Amino acid sequence: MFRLNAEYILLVILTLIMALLPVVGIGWYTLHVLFLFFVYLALANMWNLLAGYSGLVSLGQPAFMGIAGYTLAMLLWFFDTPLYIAIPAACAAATAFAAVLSIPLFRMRGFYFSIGTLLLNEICRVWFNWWRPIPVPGAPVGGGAGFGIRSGLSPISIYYLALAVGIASIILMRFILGSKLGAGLMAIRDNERAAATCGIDIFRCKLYSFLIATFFTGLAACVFYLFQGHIEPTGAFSISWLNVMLMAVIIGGISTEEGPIVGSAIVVLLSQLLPRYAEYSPLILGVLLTLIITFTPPGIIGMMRKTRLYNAMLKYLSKPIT
Amino acid sequence: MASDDSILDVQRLKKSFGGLVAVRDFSFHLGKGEILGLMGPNGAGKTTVFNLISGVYKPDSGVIKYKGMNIVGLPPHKIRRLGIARTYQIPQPFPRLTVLQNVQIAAMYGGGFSKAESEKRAHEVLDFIGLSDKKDMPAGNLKLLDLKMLELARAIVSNPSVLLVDEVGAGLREAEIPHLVKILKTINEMGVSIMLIEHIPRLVVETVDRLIVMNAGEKIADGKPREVIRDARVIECYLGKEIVEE
Repeated sequence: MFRLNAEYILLVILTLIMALLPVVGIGWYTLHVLFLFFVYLALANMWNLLAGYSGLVSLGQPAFMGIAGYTLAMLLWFFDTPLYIAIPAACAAATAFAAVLSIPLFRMRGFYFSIGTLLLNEICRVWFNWWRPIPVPGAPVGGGAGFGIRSGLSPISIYYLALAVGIASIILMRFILGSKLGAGLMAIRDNERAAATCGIDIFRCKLYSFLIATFFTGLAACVFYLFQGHIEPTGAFSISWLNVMLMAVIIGGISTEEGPIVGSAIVVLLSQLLPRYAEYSPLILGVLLTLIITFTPPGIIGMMRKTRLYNAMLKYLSKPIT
Repeated sequence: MASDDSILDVQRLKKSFGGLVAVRDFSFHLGKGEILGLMGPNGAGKTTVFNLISGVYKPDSGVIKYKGMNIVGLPPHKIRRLGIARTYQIPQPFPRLTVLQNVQIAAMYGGGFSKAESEKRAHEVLDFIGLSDKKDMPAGNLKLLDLKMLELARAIVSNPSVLLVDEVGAGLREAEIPHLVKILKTINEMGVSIMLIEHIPRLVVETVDRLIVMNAGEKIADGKPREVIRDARVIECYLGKEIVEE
């Protein structure tokens, strides 16, 4: 599976450069932007796995991010769990939550599935807004005030975590799409009826994809909340997380491997530029998204794949998996 | 009628959609190594029979025995993995995947072969069926004949014991039919029992060993193809009564 081809060499070189940046003393602001890029990249890759390759347009990913974040916060706050246990446990909690919910959710298809998952965010927000596990005298804890997340990690270590998760998400996508599961998912996305006739267990394939994506989305969320140092319901279960995933995948190119990488970079840049024009930013984003969907539905990568230059470049890398 | 050497034994199959009875007390068997034709006017329930056997629909009542085991109620993917493959009348490709990937996926999931073995088998089947020059094309770009051939390739790549072919000849030109007959015969010689829904008389008479005719969900004739198509009830259901009386 992991042949040392041009692609991986490129990936290793880029990763090394990114890893060296904090050492050579790059500014905090740039580091912060790169940190966001890697978190967004992991989120976008996983949303692409769901919507682009599995036909599961899940709008409930913020709920799973929040569950992972809250589990992490709880474990650190109440039990002082070491991070190497707390982070996998948080991802596992989100995945378990997704597994239980998959029973009712997978009874719905298409738009109904999307709407059903969208509701999860609101349900979670309301519940965590109300939930106060233990009253702590003198400190507002739980409910709308949320929890602090004290990890003791330096910002640079957290940057490295984000780098690792972002790069891992690229490798994970390549691995899944090249696997038997990936082939099954693409077949289901293309034609569900034919997929079943070809011997594919649709429910099981979709479930695996849903659980893998949720685990990794939870991981990205953990890294983000370690950095933020605090979690509260309104932000955790906010639709703006959904905006990040959707924008990155759709602008970059849904159902393409490269799309989320390009898309995440654009979304991060926009998130840094647009606050200066706060009153116009929803307008600008809306127009951008409309233009992309109208003129190049397969996104920027879809547009580039039609050009000769890009295809010539791809020759030196291994073929993208459609 | 069912004997020990039948691979598929269907007894008193019934399926209705709302008030419409699509299949009514339909019994038949498919012999090992046989090519069985299924004819009937539009709406006779032929495709419904295929959908019932392949698990797309669940029958209201009746038994479908495959190699002696009742498969009623099993989901489509399990029935396929047991060895009953089918094609659709309207081709159902995976349009964004290449022709090779289409076939390879069926080998992996339907036949349980490894990835490498599936790819090898897919190449062989595409060679046999005459699609190897188009193997890297997205299946969505294929023309009708090629799509029908892809359906067949995807069905046989998993080494099924039973192949259900739904109107593979419909919409094809006369000149393309001999090629199709040859392919079906070769598949049959490899040991696959075939059940064929077909309207084209030439294709039916040249290919099948036995012919069943359905009308309004019921079996009205079962026997040697040349005798069956002369049967008065068969002619009646296709052409109407008066012509028979002349």
